[in-house]
Amino acid sequence: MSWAVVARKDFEDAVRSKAFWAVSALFVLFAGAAAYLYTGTDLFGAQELSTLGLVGFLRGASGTLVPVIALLVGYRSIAGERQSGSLKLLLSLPHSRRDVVVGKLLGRTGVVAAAIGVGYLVALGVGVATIGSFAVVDFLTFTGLTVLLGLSFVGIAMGLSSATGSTSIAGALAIGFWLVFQFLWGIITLVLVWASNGFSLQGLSGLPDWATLFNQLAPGSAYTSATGILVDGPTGGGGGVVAPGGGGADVFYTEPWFGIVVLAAWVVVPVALGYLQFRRADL
Amino acid sequence: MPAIQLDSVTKRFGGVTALHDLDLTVRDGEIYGFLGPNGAGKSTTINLLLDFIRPTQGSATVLGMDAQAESRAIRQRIGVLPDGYEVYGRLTGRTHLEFTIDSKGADDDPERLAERVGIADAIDRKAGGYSKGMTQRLVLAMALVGQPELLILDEPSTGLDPNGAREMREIIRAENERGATVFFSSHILEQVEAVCDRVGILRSGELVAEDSIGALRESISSGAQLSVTVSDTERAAEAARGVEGVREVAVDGDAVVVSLDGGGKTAVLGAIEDSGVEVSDFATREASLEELFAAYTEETERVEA
Repeated sequence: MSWAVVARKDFEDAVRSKAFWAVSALFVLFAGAAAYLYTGTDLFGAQELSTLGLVGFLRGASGTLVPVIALLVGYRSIAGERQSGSLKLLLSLPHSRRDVVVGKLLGRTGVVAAAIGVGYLVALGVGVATIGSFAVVDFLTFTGLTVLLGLSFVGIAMGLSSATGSTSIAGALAIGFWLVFQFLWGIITLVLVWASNGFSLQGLSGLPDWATLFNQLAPGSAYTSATGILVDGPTGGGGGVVAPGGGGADVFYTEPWFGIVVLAAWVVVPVALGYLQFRRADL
Repeated sequence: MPAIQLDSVTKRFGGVTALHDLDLTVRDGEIYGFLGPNGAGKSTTINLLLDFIRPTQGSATVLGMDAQAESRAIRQRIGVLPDGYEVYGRLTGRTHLEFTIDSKGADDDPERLAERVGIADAIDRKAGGYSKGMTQRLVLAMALVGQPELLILDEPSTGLDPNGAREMREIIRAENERGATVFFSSHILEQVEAVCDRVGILRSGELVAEDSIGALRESISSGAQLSVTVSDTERAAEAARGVEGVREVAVDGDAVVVSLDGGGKTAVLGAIEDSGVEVSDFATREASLEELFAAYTEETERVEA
């Protein structure tokens, strides 16, 4: 269980990072504010308050901030230790490079999960009193999906971090990834649709199927559709510029399970590619 | 079974050859000093043994296991003080030690380890606030976890004051008496002279000499000098010149200074006394290790002459 030892050490280390505390505080603030907006104000009329309603609000805050926290926690994971030389201490001990990658992935995801946990507890503290019957299982499922979102972004950041060996390059790539997949993905989808339609949007009655699928490949969209287990439709955040399911709402790639598969792929593929690079590297 | 063995190891970084066809054997149970100026390839060699980097050609074994294929099993049985490391600044000394103990599945007591290297009072402080010397002590303590069969120490006295360096040598000796083989690199000679059974001198990625310190001294042409205070310097000088192995004789005040190739000091003294000159005092001077080192690492001609 070499990776478990690494994971615990890495958790203890990363959880003490000041940058992590700063973004986490922001997240807790957002989660609390989202809960207050939903339960404490009558902005949304007289509709009955429910757990799933709260989840819908938290999803926006989570889809926006959890990726930022996870990228921030992850991008230095391997590259930072390589640059500083602490990786030499780590690898002087009987850990394989795979143990180091897996241990760090789990340790840092634990850190992100801790931030999510605190944020959601605060949201519950604000909102639970006003919600008539609180659905514990639904809320835990939602929390699990948000942790999966965090895991996928830690995986992406770690993949970049193991492949490059430089924190500045890994950091720049992480920002680029965030911009493309969290910010521009919907626009990129639309541009592709526009281009494939003869550089025009005329005559389209909705998104073509391939564009819907393409849009679903961004981790933010995948999170939104995965939470479709609990709540329908996107309520903002997470790159969901294009509403999924425009034409054929019953296709497989708009199903929640497909979102979960996409998130899982965003964990496995970047980490595996980064590891293959890291395994061969001279340190 | 040798503790460490390198067979024709070559390591190139891009176009730069860091190690060239290096053969090296560290015997089980010895203290081996790995000497050389900065940039000679000492850390490269150690990084190869730990699988931080891979050889371009050749192979290395540690405790009989392949340094690449069985690296993890090797690292379970050795203790390492690497070069150019950094500790986890946000974690305490105790956390570092506990992490090492957990990693090796050992049962050492962190407090006793900290006490042994002299950082017991700082064990619960964050390692980021340690001085360079304290950090070095902490990492030495980490290397001692689990009673390793082999200690690999890269420039262990870096950042230590003279007292700290002495304590380091005492720990090296104690570990060796316990049964551990010790392999350590240094560019500071006194460190090596005081504790090593054998030394190897690395220059530009090649081993230029390997032997005990005494034997290396013998092999240097400027080996030893004998200074004899006598009643009659001229007669004494003439007598000394007749002895085999004497390279040069000079007169310095009321003393003759005899330079020898290798041994023969007793013969020189005997010859001077036999010539009827009264010897009131004599002193010998060994070639300093500094000179020895310089001879091997700077001026090849002198060695080959």
